[in-house]
Amino acid sequence: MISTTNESDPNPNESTLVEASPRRAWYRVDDFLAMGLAALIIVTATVSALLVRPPNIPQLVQDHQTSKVRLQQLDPSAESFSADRKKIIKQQAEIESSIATMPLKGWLVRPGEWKDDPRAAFVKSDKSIATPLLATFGVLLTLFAAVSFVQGQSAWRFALGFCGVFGLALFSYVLAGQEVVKHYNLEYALWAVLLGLLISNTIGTPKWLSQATRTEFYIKTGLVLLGAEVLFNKLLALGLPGVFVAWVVTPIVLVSTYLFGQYVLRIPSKSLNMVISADMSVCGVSAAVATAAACRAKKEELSLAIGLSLIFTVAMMVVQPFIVRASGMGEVIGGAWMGGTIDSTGAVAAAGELVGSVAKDVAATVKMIQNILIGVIAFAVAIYWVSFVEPRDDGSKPSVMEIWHRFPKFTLGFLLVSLILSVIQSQGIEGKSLVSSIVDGTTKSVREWMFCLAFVSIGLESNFREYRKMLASGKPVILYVCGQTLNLILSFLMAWLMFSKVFPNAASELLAK
Amino acid sequence: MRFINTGVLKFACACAVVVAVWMLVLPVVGDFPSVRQRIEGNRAAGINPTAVFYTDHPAMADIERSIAAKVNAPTGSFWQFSARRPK
Repeated sequence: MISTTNESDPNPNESTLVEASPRRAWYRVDDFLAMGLAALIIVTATVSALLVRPPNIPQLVQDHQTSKVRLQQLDPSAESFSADRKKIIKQQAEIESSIATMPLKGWLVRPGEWKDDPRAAFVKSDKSIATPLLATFGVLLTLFAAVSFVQGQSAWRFALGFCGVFGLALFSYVLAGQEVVKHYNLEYALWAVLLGLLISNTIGTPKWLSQATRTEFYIKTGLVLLGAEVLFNKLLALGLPGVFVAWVVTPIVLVSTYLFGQYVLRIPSKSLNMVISADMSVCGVSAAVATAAACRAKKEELSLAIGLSLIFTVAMMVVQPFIVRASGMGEVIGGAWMGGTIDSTGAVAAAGELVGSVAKDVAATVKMIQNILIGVIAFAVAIYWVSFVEPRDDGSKPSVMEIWHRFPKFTLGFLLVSLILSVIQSQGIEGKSLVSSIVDGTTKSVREWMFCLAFVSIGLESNFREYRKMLASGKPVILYVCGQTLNLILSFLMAWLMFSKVFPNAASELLAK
Repeated sequence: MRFINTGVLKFACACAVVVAVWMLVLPVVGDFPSVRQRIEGNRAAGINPTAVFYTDHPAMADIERSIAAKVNAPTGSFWQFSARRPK
């Protein structure tokens, strides 16, 4: 009985990542449920953080303000300038962590790092994380089972399938947590897809498991939660040079690569072309997920794009630091170059560290600014897709109402969350700490689990033959290589122009101790 | 029946390969000096190489503070255009 498929399940094996919203009661539509679920999580995180705030907040805010003034008044010519600056920054960090309370953080966990004994992945700071992991499982199960119930499906059947999908997600975290795998940037997304593929292409995905392969819903909820981390206030973190390297070069590369794929390579699938272009030019996995959802790419197209990106990232994070050192381009230009070109956010910092601490800081900051771009990119791609790419039966231009109907509405939730949290973040140290409580304390962990569950689901619903078909012509690889070459050239030219010609003092200021 | 057995066999073989690589090969690779150096370097710098987003880096907040202090330094030197550069 348990293994029978629920007939009312909407598109359990749909080929695209995000289907156009079917006409049914609004409260049963994935987009609205994903936004509602994300809102519930964010509100819970906010309330819990506010409830346990320390009583001496006004004093802490005052201390932080005083430290800011002291930082501005430091004499740069003094011998103790560097040490004093570091001391004040450390004090600020301590004050911020005192204000940013995270009562739920210890209950939303994932396995950690290990070397030769996988059991070590379940121990953090000498404490077992078995109970918090059970709590994480319980929270996610309750939320998703409730959603299944609202959508008219069997919550019990979903719960049974979810045990399996969660178990596979847990196992992919353990595989990704092996220290060599982790430090060479082979992310959990890769293992989650491969584990799913292994099952679906050998023993076949059991029906009881497929009840919980809700790729679309996991991705939409994860993306709305990701909106909490897309904070527009960080745009000027590296001044105008950062904006030019991350926000001017990136869209140029994205559009050029997409056009190259369409008109030169003539890649048959526009969505595959777009996902590869975005994941290569913006920021790897997160950009691929956001764009794939915005342009309704196939599941296999998303996982292929991520696979390509991870393979090239491993090579680039080894080769680029070597080029930076050998060419003598310097830590600042080299860091900005790596930050703008290496896809994966984690690999950027790791590659920067191989050059030096300033290169790491600059690279990570450029990548952070680029990360923020995915909100705009996802929104723009969604509008472009529903307006110009998705064909109408009679070939005419779609009306505004039709565009609205087709539009992936969860992207509005993504942008709304991003804008609200950006406004809160801009409200001084209290706002900044509250956002930190929400993101670091809750939404980040839930978002990671959502994406991991989505990748396991993609693997369980995919077939190796699809990948062979897409890779047969070699065009996706050629697209990636050509796009990345353009990215490498333009990012270097922009970094050089900004840091050596337009703002020549910026590099020396960043290199100052 | 034959197809099912082949599938199970493939699955079992893949599982055996995963166990062998993760439990035997990777721990040895992790002890190679160059690999160990990279791992320790990342740990010391608070880098999570598998970070999907900037918020996944444990050290990102410190990096932001350090960069902000330099970008907004009282001298305002960071923001000076080349045309205004003092000789």
